[in-house]
Amino acid sequence: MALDTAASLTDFRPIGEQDEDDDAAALLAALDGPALLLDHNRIVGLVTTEAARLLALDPAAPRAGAPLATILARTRLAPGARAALAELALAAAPSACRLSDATGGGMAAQRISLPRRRVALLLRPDQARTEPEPRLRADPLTGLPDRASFHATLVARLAAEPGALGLIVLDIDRFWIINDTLGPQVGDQLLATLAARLRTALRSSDLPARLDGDEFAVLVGEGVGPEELDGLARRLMDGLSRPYLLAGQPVTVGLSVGIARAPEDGVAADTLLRCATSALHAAKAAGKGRCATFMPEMHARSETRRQMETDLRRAFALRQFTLHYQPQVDVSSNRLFGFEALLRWQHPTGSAVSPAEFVPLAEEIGLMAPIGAWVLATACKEAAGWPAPLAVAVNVSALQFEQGDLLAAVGDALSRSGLAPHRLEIEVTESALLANPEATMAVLRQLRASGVRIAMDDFGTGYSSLTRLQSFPFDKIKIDRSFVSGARGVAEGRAIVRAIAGLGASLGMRTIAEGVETLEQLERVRAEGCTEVQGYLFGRPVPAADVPAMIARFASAPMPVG
Amino acid sequence: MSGKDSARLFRVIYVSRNRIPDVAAARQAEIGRILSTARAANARAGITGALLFNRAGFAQVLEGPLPAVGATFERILRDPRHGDVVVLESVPVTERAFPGWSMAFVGEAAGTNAAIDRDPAEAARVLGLLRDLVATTVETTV
Repeated sequence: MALDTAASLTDFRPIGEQDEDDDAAALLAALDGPALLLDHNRIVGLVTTEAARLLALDPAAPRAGAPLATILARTRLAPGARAALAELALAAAPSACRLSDATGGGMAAQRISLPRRRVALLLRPDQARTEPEPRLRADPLTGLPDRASFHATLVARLAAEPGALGLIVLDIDRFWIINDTLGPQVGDQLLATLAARLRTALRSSDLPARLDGDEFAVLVGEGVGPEELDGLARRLMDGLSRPYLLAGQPVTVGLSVGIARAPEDGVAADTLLRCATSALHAAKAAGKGRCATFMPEMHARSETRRQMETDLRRAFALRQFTLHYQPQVDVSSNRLFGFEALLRWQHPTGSAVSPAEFVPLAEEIGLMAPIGAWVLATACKEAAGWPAPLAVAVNVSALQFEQGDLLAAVGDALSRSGLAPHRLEIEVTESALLANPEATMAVLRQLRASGVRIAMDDFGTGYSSLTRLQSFPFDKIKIDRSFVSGARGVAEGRAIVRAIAGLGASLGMRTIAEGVETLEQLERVRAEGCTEVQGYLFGRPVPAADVPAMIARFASAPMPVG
Repeated sequence: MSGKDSARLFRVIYVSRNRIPDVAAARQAEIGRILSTARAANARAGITGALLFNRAGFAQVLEGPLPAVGATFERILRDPRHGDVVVLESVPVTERAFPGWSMAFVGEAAGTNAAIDRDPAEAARVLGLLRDLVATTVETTV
């Protein structure tokens, strides 16, 4: 009964021993059919010869390195079919679609999730449908039934058994971090081991399945009561979130779980799956590592989140993000010190979405690192066009430190733009420092050694530690706007501004007050000893195109003259 | 796993909390079952080590070739008789700390009712404690 996990894993790794860059080619060669491979940004990496033939791809069109839409535009597909394929590549669900004859299609398309958040689109011409239906298949990595066969079983069981059924859907919190930091092979090992634990934790009447990526499901047999179902879900959470020893390395993961029941929540397979998934999303939104039972109001929230996830992926692929720049001013001279780069997302519906809304989701789905790299590259490129020594301040999130590619992103941004390192200032929040102090400090030290300046953002709002200020030579401390606006009481705010400014002065660090909107506030923070200010009084964030005019305005008439 | 991995000696130290009902007789019997199963399986897999059990929970050292240690630890992790597992150490080693012991056992009788340290920084201390106890007071049966 002791499953030799390590030994069985090796059998499940057809592409495991190869270099990562060869994986894609090997995979598609093995597929031996019409397929497209896309990277995590949905840039096409490969189009097989069969796919090019099936789609009648223009021979002069690129077969790699271009966005999916660019390549599809050079095929016989009508715009409707192109959009359907693009949607399939972007969406979290469903995992298949059909392109009708009328659109130049006449084929079925299926999305397969691959390690490193890549996907393959497999195409199957319609005449193949006349062949006998393929047998219900098990997922090769975990040996569990895949989504299609689980769905078929669910349909059959719901039709056959009028009694109560339970459906549990679970996934690993931020699974992509495992793939990104430890590699896709370790990620695969984790999934296979988790699946083996799942199987041993269930009774023979329960049916486990791997739905997609790191998403698993369990169909719990007839007559299950709510308490029993809840108990099983908790047992699974306990067992599956125990440590994993992967290639000798202990790995700890969190799990989120959603529960739905038939007939209470629905009697159709799709409805029930949707309910359990909505509950799973609710569990994640409530802070991960949780278990939630479906309630009707979860649908709307889950739908919003799913839509936002799709929109966010599309926004990144289509470069719908922009940076706005807000001036930072030296209070002693009233001269411009530089600008803080602020991320803006213009949602297709026309409304701007606040970073406070989309950054947490971007972090969760693994999009924050590429967005962060884009922000760095764009801010440096634009700042390189400003007169020296004007600086640009860029915010980085805790996850950019965790993934360990921040150094590379900064290095790339500087070398490509030609911006002098001391004109770039990285703003890091206290919470980022708290999340992983050693790793974060190590990255900060290297950044600073390369000449980049480091600012501590939002100081005073978290577990502000004086020791932390002393242990790292920050160039600047940014005082949170709540202390400037008087939102926390004018007298208290004032005392805190004075304390931080004094601390900065004695440690040789500059201090900048955020959210300065009135002359009175300016006078106050100046009197308390802040060296710089930022806020509507000096200028709102403006698009890059308006920055030169703002620079000119400051050069001719430093303002305000409070 | 490559051939290199299987030749390499590996050690895992973990601690966990007891979930066996707090009835002396039941606990005794359960620990007896755990030990006899573990010893037979370990002898086959080339695993040595030591298990400390007291009212609070378990501390265990497993050592052997990496694949065997991995498979054994995974089996242990699936056991519902304990929970709150924390890995204190997971490292390659050059020699065994408990050669000749398919699973040395230190039970409550040895006066080890002190709280077991759950901090990975204390891995060496837990290992030292187990070595000392095994050297002086080991019980070959429960």
